[in-house]
Amino acid sequence: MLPPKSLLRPACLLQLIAVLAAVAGCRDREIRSYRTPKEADDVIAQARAAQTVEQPVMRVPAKPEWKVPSDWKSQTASGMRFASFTAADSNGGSVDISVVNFGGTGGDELANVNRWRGQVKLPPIGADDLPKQVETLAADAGEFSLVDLSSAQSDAATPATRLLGAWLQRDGKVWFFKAMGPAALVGAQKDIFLAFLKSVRFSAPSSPIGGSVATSNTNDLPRVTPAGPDLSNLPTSPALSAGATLKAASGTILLWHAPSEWTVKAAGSMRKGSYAVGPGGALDLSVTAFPGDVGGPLANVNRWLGQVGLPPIDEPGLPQYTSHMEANGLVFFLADTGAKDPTHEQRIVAAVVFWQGNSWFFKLMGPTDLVAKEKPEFTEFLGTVHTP
Amino acid sequence: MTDLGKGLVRFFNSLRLTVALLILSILLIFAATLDQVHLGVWGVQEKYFRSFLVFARIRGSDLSLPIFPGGYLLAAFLLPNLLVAHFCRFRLSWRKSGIWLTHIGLILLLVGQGLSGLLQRDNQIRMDIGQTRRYSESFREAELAVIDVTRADFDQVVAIPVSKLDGKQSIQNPLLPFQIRPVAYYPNALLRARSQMPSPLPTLATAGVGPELAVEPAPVTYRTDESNFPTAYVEVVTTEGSLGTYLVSSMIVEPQEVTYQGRTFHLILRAERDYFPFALTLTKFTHDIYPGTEIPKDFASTIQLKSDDGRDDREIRIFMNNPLRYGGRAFYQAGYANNDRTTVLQVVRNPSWLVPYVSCALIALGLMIEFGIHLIGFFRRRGKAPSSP
Repeated sequence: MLPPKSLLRPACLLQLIAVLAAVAGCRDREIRSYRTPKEADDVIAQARAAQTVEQPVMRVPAKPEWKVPSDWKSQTASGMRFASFTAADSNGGSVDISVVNFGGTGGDELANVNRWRGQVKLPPIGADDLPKQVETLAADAGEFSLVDLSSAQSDAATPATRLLGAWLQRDGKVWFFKAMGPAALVGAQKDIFLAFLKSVRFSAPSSPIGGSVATSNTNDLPRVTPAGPDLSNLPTSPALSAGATLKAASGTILLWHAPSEWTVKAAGSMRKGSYAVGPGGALDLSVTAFPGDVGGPLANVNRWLGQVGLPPIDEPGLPQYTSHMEANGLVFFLADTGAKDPTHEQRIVAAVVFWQGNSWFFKLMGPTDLVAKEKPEFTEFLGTVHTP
Repeated sequence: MTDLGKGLVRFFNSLRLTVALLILSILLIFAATLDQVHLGVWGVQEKYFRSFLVFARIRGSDLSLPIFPGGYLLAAFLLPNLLVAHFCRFRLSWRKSGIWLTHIGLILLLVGQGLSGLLQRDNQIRMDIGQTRRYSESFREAELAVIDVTRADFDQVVAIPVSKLDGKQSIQNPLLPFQIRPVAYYPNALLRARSQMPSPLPTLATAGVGPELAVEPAPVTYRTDESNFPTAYVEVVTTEGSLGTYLVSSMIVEPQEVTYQGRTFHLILRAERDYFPFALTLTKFTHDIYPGTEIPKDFASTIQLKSDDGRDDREIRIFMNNPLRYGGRAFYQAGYANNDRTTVLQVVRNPSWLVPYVSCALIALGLMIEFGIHLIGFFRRRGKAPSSP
């Protein structure tokens, strides 16, 4: 039976609208999958295009190599594991050894330690207790942070569990090495595990395929390099786009030549460049870029003063710490936290240049006497900074 | 015919309906024109014309209510109104063929506009001299690309529209060994380095570059000279547990790496891409100005087109009002940048692009026939009229 006539018209209209709404729903975008030919990294390609160098480049992430102890058995690495081993004893007990890596910092140290503590049924600790738990182990690959955690034996049937955990930051990744198993067996394996950590080596980071890694200490690309340019200190991990205001973004970068005695360090996620400076590489020089003026000169100087443990200053006090210099058409704003108190333990010498909507920071930090010694070289380095 | 059918025919045959719809259309266009100040051209098109209902937010709340019929709804009534009125009022005969053709042309125009709204994709290509591009990028739409880069010979891309990141549902794809779980989505946001902030904002990210960055949500911009930076937190979840929560944003231009089961994936939020079965290389860009002025006279891109199947490898010149039509797409010269070293091409993909041309031709033909018939009739009557004394 048909509904009353008075209801027919609205009912039809509603149906019509429903059909149209369904049609409109089809506009919703769907997940697509497709294959694309291998392309050079767009960002690097853009930076290179801006520098009139045309060779495509692909980056090889650093991979670890190690010497596997003779009584460890390699297992098939599955899931998140990069590598997996077991060490068994004659009584049927075994220790599980894993190597896992994560991009970035892999979460904060406290969270990692507490995760491992949870695995051996230990209560979490606070940040204050962290330094007591973590030891360091110097190795060729770098300095490992190390924890040794044991659970209390709850009953005779379930033996106590022990966990040896170590981690290391490398090329924007953090590598976790873990050995876990019955306490007695892990104890017997501890020296072998430490020797394994010491055997870890990383292949050259971020070397371009098809070209030798040049030794010149620069992020500028050589104009003629048949074997391929050195891109070892171009950003190796996700970097912010330049021009990152609400306007369209672009990816061009400033270029420089660092003195040959400086050691290139793996640039972290936010760093455009990173060097170990001075005797034994005791000083850290970082190059970073951020959108806008990052608070202006006073905010920047006060942040640096805070970082070396000096009190903040007011606007009138600013000229005491700051100066300007010009190089290659770029005007640098310079700041030296040791200008007023050259005896303070730590010192920062920094330069800021505003270019293409971004503030580029060049910061040298370390013990005051060493910074004072390296300052002329730092100023000379600033003189090499130029636009592409 | 049933009562229902008769009722519908009576409703759509009404001339009052036509007048009401036309008045509503005029009001809609008027309101959209005024609102263009706030939303820009693209914004008003989406809000007023490419919608069934126009919504307005109640002041002081997040609640939006429909206040006016949108362009699609008006068209959905205008089209049957035109069709029903046409079939009820005009009989098919030679004398009425002009009216018939004109009406068919009009109907086709409405249908074509609807199809364009649904199917047309406007993208762009920015290319420096010497660069090769195999894809265009959307002006407005963004996607989260999960790229399996493990193979040496090709990359396998799974492109997830950002609209899917705005929900609670985990995203699964047979090509991915993990799920992408949306955690938070911001249609526009700025990223700041947390280390550079006096009191850093919290971050939801646990892996990748995200832990070092803070997200500052920003209002969506509709201005043509500004871009939105869609940003999201997504968790990569496997059957063995989480691989971490990543911050993805169109402000982060380098991909973030996820390794799982011996395969390496890149995560990147980028402008939606449309890949071509051919490659375009910009070989030359010329930008002429009128002598003594800065007024552009002509700007043109010389492009080498190379198709994947090897059939085409030729040089093409794209300049103002002379687009390249190839592979179902039209490439228009849209702009230039970077001291004339970069060309900007607008790429329009519209499978119904011919419809407006056909409908205009039909309308013109119909009007010519209609007026022609009247004119001939007039001359005939004039010839038969008795001569005056």
